[in-house]
Amino acid sequence: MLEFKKDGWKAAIALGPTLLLLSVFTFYPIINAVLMAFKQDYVFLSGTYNGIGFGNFVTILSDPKFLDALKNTSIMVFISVPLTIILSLLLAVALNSVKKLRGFFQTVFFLPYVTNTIALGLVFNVVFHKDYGLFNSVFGLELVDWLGSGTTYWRAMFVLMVYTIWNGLAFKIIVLLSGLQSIDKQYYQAASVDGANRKRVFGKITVPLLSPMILYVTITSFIGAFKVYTSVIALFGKGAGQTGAYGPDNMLITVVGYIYEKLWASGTPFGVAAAGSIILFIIILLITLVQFWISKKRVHY
Amino acid sequence: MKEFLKKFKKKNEVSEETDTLEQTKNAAPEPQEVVKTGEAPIVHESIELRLDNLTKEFVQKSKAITVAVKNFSVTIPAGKLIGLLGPSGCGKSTTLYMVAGLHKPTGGNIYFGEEDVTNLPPEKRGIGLVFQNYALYPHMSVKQNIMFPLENMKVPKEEALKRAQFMAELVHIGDLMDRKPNQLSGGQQQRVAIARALVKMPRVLLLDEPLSNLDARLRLQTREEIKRIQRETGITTIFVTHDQEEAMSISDEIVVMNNGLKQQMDHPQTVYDEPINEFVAKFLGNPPINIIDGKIENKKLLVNSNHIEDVDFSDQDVHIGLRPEFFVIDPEGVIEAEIEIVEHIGRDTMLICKLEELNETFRAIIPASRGLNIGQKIRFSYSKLFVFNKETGERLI
Repeated sequence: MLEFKKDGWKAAIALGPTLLLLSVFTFYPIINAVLMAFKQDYVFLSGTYNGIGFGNFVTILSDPKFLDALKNTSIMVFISVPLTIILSLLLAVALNSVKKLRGFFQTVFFLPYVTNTIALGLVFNVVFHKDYGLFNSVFGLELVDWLGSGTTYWRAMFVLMVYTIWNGLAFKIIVLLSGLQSIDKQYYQAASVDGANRKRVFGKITVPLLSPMILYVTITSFIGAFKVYTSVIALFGKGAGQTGAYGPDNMLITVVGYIYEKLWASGTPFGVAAAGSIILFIIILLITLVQFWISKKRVHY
Repeated sequence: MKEFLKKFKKKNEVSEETDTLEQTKNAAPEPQEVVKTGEAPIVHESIELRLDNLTKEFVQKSKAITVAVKNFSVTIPAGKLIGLLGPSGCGKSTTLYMVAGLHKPTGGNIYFGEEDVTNLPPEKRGIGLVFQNYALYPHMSVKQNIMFPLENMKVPKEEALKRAQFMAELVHIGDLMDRKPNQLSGGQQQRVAIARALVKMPRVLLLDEPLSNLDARLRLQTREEIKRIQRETGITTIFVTHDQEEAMSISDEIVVMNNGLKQQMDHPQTVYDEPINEFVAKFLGNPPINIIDGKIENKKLLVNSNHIEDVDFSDQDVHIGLRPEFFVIDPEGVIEAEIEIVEHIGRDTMLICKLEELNETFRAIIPASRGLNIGQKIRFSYSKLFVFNKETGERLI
């Protein structure tokens, strides 16, 4: 402690730039957003407002479009996240067991991660095109509209999920693969001597020993998925004959999308968007807490 | 605990008949037979373990071939504990892993009794293996660790619990069942590893340097423990170690290995007393054997032109091996030396002496005696000596 005091100025120099940047771009906006959420009829430019209260929250929670956004986001999160995690776990285990071409496969799975989201959206637009799409021709479906104005809610949701899952695999596979490679080979030898079949080795050795990594991936995926926005824009925004940036009639609007819309909608005070982001923050916080609570019993460090 | 053991032994005796019956029924007997009524698990009839011309080559990245084990043949009698002894990298662990089925031999065969297990995977062999660092599953409690092999064999839960508890008591960790491995001391972890290896009643128990992670006192204690458990269960056991004292104290017979080749297999004392070559003579014994350059000329064994004794061999350069305890102080002796260091070690006195003219030192252990001073000239005779060919290391005398 004494040494720390003596070197206080060194610490200040080291931390200073980061703290300054964080203050300007993170701490101040967070605090301001919280304040804004409670200010009624807040006007951004003049800074005037009309009392403090829960008015913005009442407005937003009674808006059917927000509840729609919440529903869309929740469906996305609770279906796509478990699926990506299971898929990436299986793929990581598979990759870990091949010796030849492992580098090649790793690159293939990692490519989406480093590719521009918008470009991927274009690719999906081509793949799921009604008339010339690869998907329709491979599965022998005749002129099914996935992304255009003729799509249905679940069709559009299906494409969005395929896109999200595939796009999210890369990072998770890399994390899980590195976790797998750090498991001592001797446990597998011991399990083999102990007569465990593959299924039991996976369930009783691999998954428990990988559980810290799985927890990490799960939490980051849930947080990332709740913030889903760009993928919807990449798939539906500005597409041919589109009636909205979030799919036909904005049917796939997400919470972040809703917040963004509210920010620029004329006649809507800024406080409404801020309240939306506070609600999103609370949801993510609660889900993360639940995950930590579960992990206390299930994760073996 | 004693009651447990009595029951255990009784069951064991009774079981032999039924087991033999079952073995004749099935060509490949499953090692995991369980007595439906029993409080205690049953040991199979001890089996003989035979390694026939076992060879293991590793192909390296540069395509160079390393031969880890060469034409290794050994027959281990049923129910015996064999110490596999050799320096690091001599192929002893590789041999053990081949017996376990974790390494596939390049050539040769492994027999458990009459059964050829060379191509069986580890889980079908009925072996128990204790790893050097135990490889206990860190996320499972002691109980879960010990029960894991039984669960894999689909032993009913209650039966598995009983057997796990019994094994835990046998290795004296019955009260630690709910701990995690990281809450145990090294010695306790080692016992858990042994219990896990034994609980499925393996036909062969393999121990890979199981004591190397323990402190000196615990090592001594555990080594006796292993011997006791092995006797009580009667499982044919291979114990790999580089520690000669450990191997000699625990084993019914020891196999000395070097460079992937079997050097000698015999009772520990016989190997010590009658080493077959210079390597074995040097590897066993602490303090080590003294090796002195010499030669045979005209049927005379000479050290630096001093005539030691008459021998019946042709002329050649030799190494003369004298264990420290072979020296006897004798005013008429043929070896003349100057005392450099005197160490009193209680029962004995160790002398480090310099050979006259040869500029070489050797160690002698003699019964405790006083009145020996540094710098003093002294003469020794010897109770015994070994003579090895200098080139091949082969023992002549």
